[in-house]
Amino acid sequence: MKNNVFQKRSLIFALFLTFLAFYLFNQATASTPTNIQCQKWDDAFLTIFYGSLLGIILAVVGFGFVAGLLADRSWFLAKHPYLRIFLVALAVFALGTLVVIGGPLTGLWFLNIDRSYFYDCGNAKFDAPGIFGVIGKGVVVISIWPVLILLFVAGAGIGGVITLIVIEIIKSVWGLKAQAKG
Amino acid sequence: MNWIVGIGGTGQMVLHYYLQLYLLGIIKEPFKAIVIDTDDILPSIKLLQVFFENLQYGAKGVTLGGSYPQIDLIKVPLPEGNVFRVLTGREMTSDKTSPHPVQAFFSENALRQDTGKGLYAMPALSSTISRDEIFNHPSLKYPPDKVLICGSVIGGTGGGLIAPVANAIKKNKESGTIQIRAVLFKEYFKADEHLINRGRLLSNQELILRSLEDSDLFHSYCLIEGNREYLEERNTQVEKKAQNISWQTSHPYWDGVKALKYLTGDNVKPKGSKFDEESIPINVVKKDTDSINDNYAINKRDKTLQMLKCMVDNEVLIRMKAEPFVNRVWGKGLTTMVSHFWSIAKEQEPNNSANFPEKLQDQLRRWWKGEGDKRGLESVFPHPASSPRISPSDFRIGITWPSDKKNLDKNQFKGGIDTIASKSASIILYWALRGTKEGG
Repeated sequence: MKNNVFQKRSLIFALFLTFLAFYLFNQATASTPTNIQCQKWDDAFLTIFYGSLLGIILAVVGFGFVAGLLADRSWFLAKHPYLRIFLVALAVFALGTLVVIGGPLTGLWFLNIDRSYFYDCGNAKFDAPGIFGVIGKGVVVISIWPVLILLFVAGAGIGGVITLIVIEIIKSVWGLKAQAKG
Repeated sequence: MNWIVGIGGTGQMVLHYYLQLYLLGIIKEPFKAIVIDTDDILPSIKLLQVFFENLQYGAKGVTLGGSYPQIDLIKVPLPEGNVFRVLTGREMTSDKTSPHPVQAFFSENALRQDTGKGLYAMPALSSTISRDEIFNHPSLKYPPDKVLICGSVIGGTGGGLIAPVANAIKKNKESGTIQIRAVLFKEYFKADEHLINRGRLLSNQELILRSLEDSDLFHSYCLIEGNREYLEERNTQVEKKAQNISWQTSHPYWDGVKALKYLTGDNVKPKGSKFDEESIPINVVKKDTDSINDNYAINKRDKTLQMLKCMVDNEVLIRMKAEPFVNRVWGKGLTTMVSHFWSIAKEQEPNNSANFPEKLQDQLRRWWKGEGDKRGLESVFPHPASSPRISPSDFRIGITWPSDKKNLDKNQFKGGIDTIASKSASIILYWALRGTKEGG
């Protein structure tokens, strides 16, 4: 039992050291990107962000509907639609944040965006369009990551609200109350 | 519908188990149970009487999806005072110059005994005191063609009332034939020598069996007895509470339940000429292909109890109200049933039915778990021996819900939204209990 715990801790520590070495090596070897490169990566990242935001909304709506049908064999927790939608929204938001906002940190997720976009483009000067042309104009998108997270929260919330509205419409047609004819 | 008459404490205990097996769907055919006792009726049987009465959906005896059992209780009142006063209407004195004829039949000790403390295993007393009560009781009028009687031949109430009750039923059959079948308990527990002398129990047994032989009342019968080498003591306090009593499949009560089920069948041969030697042996009952399978019964019980626990604890009916894909998720059977009752509520109480599923869930909880001093149906059954995992889909595919909604009498659902919810909850509970599949 003790050996297992020790092995796990050793593994985690080794992974941390590897990551740190990778990070320091990356910092030491990377050359400073130009403003044009930063702008190109920023445009690409913005496109990915828009797509992801839309994806989050659609995923919450989609999974919000089917989660009950998929999970009903196993969990009573999944049997309450409101709770189910909340859990789906939370899960989709968490996954979206990890993949999209945490993605450039590792450089593994986006092949057309260099890792140095995250590390070295923070102070780059170019005519950044801003999110929806309003938020963070003239600023590199990834540098305002807390705003991105908030927008993902809003996206998950919008998805949840849409699901709720559609669910109420479906219930009014096929729900228990609709089937109970007075 | 057959009658099953449980007489005395033993008859009540056998019915206590038999009713559980009916509720679990192991006993298929509904019946009318008549409980006769000079002592208190078991709380479990009283609760089930109220529960069954609440199931009425159409005419008397008709619930949604079929018939339901009925329970009639005949508590033979024992007037206060000593036995002499009860029998003669006057006080017992030591004056020997004015004797009463009862003194020729009962000993002085017996006549001085207080009736408030039972009948002290004296069958002569119970049959004398309750004779009028039994013969004229409306519950024993118009018997069907097949009547089953269950009781012990060693105790006071069963010993004294089995023959008079059988006789009364036979006389009340105005036309056609009647078959009275009996499950009779011989010595099956170790007598508490401080209260009752064993010799008295055995002499009761001899007397009652002989008088039954002479009366030739029974078409067929089973004799149940305990293991003579090791008789278990009887815990009457636990029995009288009738709360979560465990199932002991090796106990003579369980044999009695099996015998009762066997005797309800159509293939029972009439007894032969010699009464005591020609009873149906319990081994024949147990080997019958229709006999109760103990393991199946226990597994079905545990599964069913777990289903009901989940249904109450997880507030299934409230979740159904919020579910858009209600048919797909909870199944058409349960959905149709709940929406049917909600329709009735909407019609009867149009301004008060918006939260019907919540009220239904609350009534379901009350029926199952009880509230305050009021016991719930959960207390009738033993604590489950295992806790099989229940997933939500079990409500869709693991229960056979009735689909027949004919025979509705809307008058049965009058009395306010709580009455409608209570009746609907009891019917849902009834079918959840009876319809749960053992392996489903």
